[in-house]
Amino acid sequence: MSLIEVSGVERTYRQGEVEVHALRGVDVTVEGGEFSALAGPSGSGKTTLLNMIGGLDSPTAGTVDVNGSRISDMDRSKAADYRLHHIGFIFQAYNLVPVLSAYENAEFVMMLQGVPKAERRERVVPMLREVGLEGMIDRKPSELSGGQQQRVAIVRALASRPKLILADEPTANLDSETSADLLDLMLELNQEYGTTFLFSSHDELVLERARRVVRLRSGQIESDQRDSDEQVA
Amino acid sequence: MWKLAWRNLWRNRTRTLILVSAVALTYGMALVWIGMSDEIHGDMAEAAVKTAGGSVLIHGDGYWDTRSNEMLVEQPAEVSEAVQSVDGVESVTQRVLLQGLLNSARNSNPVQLTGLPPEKGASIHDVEDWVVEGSWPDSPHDAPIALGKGIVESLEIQLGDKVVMTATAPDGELTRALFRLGAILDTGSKSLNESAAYTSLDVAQKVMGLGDRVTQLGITIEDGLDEAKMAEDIRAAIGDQSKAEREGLEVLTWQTAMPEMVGAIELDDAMMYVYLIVIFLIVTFAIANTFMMSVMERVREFGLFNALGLNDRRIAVMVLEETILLAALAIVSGFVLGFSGHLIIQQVGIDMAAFTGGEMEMAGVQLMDMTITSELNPGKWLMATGFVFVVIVLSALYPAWKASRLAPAEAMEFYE
Repeated sequence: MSLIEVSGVERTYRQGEVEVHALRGVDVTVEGGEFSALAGPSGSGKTTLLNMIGGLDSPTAGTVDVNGSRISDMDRSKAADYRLHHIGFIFQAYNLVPVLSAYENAEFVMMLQGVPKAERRERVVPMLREVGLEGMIDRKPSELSGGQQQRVAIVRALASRPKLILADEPTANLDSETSADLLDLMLELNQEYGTTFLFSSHDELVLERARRVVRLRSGQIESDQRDSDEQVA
Repeated sequence: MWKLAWRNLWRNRTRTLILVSAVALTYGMALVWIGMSDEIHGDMAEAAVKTAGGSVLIHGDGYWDTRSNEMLVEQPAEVSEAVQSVDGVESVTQRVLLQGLLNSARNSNPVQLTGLPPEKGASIHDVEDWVVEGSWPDSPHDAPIALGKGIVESLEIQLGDKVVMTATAPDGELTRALFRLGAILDTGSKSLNESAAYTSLDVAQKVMGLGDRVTQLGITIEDGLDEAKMAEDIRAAIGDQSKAEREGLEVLTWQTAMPEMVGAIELDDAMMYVYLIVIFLIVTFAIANTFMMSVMERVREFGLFNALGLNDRRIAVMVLEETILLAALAIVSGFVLGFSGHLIIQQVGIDMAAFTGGEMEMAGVQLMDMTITSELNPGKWLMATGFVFVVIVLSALYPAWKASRLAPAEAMEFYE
């Protein structure tokens, strides 16, 4: 059984009088441990597809299963609970809670999960050190650079040990050097912890490192390319 | 999550401080208002008890409605002894109350003559404290009378001058009695100065031919006791209701004797609550508006929380926690303000004489004490505190619901 199974997903929404078809019958599967990217131009539907997989949005038609659970049929509360325990998120911006320190942001999801304080500290502090944030754990997001904020977000996503991390344009607001560092870090963590990463991005740095790139255009899959250059779809 | 709520509360320090100050000030003022109202109502009740003659009153049946000189308590000593035996009774004072016309050589003036036992405090009004000229109750005259200074001016008399009281005696005959002015009184009330006349109980009984009979037994009871319950116990002590009626007695509480005053206190109390509710309704909208602004400023953040796994209920609870902390802050600050105000007013008082022309009458009762202080009523203060807390939390329900219903993808502007 694949970790992610997207089957015949369509998403239509209205913008005023206009009906927008964000996704038109997408079928895709992602195996556990993959380091994959959804690529495509702006408006191609990659973020919409990422939202469907994360249960942040519901498909107009089709189904989405994550780790054997049909997330596309879950109500808001169930989907939130599912995300809490199984999916980590890294967003393009507004990633951190401004009133919490780097450490508090990093432990936030675990706190929601009810992980004891000592265990949270045990997991978060070494990871923050590993991503180069030692000595900055008490800083508020406003006192961190964009790259440092994204590192905190990565630690937050990883510390709760989810099976899947969904990253929406994680390098969009970063310079290329910081982006490369972060991607190398995520790749390292993917290999170390076996966590599945699925990006949505059109950043070449991301696509270069991704083991698999699924390209979308106008809400449909245009190509599905693995590292070995094997054309899947 | 409480830590997060606390920090969110201080995200916009100025706005939170203004909101807390507004609620604290309103709540503090409400406490002071309740304290002053309770004190005024206490004064009103005390004035009513003084005017009526006691907390519980015994008269000849029908006296209170007719004020007829013919309706008397026939065996006051026996009744008084029975009443004294009731638990909670502090004192029983026998009084003669007579309506009549007082004449001097030059003028006449209608009065209510009260015949009092000589001991201090027997009148409840402490007549001796009002004496501005002459002496009371000791007097060199055989039939001394103490008159309000308004009557003295009207009759154009001086200390030692003769006055004649004309009144209907118990047998229905018109009777005249001669008195000499022993003391001039200033009661502090213009209307009382123009109508109040006092003499000793035995003189009043003698000159009007009452024998041992009196008009009223005025009963004072221990603080905090229920007057209606005491009246029941007193009726039982006298005999029973039917026996009391058979013996021609009426037993009244001051509330049944002066329903207008009870109505005035209840109306004033109700008006106070109406004002408080209106004020807090306005505060509710102000808080709701502020929280709504606070929620709308954090739409993306709520989207992030939801994306990270905080479900609708927990997001709503988080907003409500902010409200509860705000309410706690406002209530603590407001309590400090209100309690300080209460203590200051209790010590210093507010002299209302300047606002009321020197006297104030409510429901036919003259309020003697024109200085308003404050009385702490823990029950009412607790109720007001609970009300403020509930109002603040209720005002945040809609913003909390709104925050919990934000679609995470839209909140994060996720659509491409």
